[in-house]
Amino acid sequence: MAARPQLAPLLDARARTVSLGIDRSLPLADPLAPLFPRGLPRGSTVVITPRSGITIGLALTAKASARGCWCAVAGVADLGACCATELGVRLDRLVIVPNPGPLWPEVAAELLEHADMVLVRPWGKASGSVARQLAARARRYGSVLVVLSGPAWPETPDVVLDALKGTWQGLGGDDRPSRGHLYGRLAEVSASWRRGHPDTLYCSLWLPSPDGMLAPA
Amino acid sequence: MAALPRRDAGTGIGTVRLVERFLVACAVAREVEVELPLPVLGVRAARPARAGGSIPHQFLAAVEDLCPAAEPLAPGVCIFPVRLARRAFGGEESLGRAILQRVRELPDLSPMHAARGVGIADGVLAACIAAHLSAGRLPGWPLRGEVGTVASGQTPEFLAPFPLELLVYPELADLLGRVGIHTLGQLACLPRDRLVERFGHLAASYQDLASGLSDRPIPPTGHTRDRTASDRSASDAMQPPETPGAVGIDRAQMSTRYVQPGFWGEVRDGTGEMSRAVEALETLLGEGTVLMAHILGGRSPAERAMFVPWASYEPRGGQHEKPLPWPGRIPPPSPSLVFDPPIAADLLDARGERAEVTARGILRADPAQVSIGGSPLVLVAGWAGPWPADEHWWSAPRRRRARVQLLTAEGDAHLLVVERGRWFCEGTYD
Repeated sequence: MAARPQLAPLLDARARTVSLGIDRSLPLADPLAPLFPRGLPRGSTVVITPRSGITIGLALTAKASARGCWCAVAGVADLGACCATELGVRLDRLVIVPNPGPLWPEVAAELLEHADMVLVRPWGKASGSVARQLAARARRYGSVLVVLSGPAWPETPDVVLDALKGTWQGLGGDDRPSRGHLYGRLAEVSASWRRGHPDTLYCSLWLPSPDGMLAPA
Repeated sequence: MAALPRRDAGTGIGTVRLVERFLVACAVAREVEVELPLPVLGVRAARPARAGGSIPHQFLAAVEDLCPAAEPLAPGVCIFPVRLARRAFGGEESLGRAILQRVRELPDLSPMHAARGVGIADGVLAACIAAHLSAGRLPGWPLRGEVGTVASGQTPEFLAPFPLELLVYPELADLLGRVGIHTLGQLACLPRDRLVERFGHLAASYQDLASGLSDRPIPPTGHTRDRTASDRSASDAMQPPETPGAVGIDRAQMSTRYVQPGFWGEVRDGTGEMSRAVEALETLLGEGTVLMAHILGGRSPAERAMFVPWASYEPRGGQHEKPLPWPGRIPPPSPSLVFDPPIAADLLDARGERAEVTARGILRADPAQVSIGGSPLVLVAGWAGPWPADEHWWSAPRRRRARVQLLTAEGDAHLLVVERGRWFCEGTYD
């Protein structure tokens, strides 16, 4: 009988583990929350418009990698590792395939099977069938495909992120153009969801903020 | 500096590598037993604490007096390239004698540092051994005069008879000993491809050192074990001597940092699945195409990032580097795209002339237009800098550079670097 009162916390712990197991979203940095009201569901496809730059893509991986999820970047040969750490990306959870070349669909497919989030910059224009297959693979393995879109992505993704060209702060000024140093970039980011949200969501962000992180403006 | 033909048994391609001549000065214990391996692995690893007037500190200060480029290798052992001071002393011999006299003048405060010696040779290892000979620390080996000098190009012959234990850590020395390799000379003679195949790239880097082909060892990060050993006990016996990343300075303050690599089968946290993916990707794209990144100390974003192949990646303890002061470092945020090698660029002032950074590190005129990678000129809306950097002043390709942050009228921000009057784009804040 003495064992009985101890059962409750045990069950409680178990139940919590299970609820984590069915958590179907990847963790996101808090400043991105207004754009992702229901989080970043596993199995979804995110397209980042060409003008948005790579910083917003890296920012998506920050929290997930910090929580121990595996992230991968394919097709970005000039990735700035310092920028990634400053954004909060855990580098020992970030696999980099700098030059997949024309084999990028195969590389992305393989990564989607094993990593939790895969950033890929297509090499050339992606065909409709490749786009469909990659999206299906992300859904099947519960990973998130983030396309750093060069040429337009032929499929409709779950969400399109668009950072209107931000304005860099800290440099310039009429009196003394050589003052200061680059301080941060204020950017207006929009998220257009395919379903669930009729309107496009907007949010002002420091992308990045003066300490290199993502911050609400 | 000696040019040595590189033996390459695998491909038969001969290349020439330049090996820097070093002077090593040491103040070590006079005891008979020598701490092994010699503190060669810790080159520029850790600067010993420079707390008030300890012997290692005084010793370093004394050598720095004569050659400011001196760097500590371990407490009581410091090193600098001979080239930097030779001329001021009228030759290698007199430089060696001057340093030796200086370090012998130091007070005999601690028995740990009673024996003083100076060695000059090609490469760190030979200079280190020569210094210990000069200090009388390796009994049984012939003294090479007051200053231990190994003539240029004689390093392989000099090193050949010394036991492996001087260089490699005991477990690898033991493994090599089992296959009959006991001296540095024997290690130098092994066919390269067979050595790599069986003992990995770390052993190969030791071979380079043993044959006088390389200045300094690469930090041991690869997998090292006898890959063909059927005798499991041999690899089972190879326990890491120290925790990875630890700076191990032992009782005699002679041993140094070395990072024991992980072994095959040692599963990193949750990496098993990723390993399979990487294996598949490398089958697809070729070996070494999947990378991981480290952040190191340095000034520019390109210097601070190091990309290593998945197979040789070992996670560091802390994910963020400690904020060490780096003069000339660009403050964050860092560029999200870093070009290595940098892209040729052109920065012009209002008169259309190429912008110049003076020797004192200021721009002669405000930059007005910029072109990156041959693109059309765009107007400069703002700029900051220059951050001058005098890099690698201790080695042959001394680099004086200056960096400028630039904001174009189109709103793009770039990091530009100028070297010998030529501008490059090193990064873009994308």
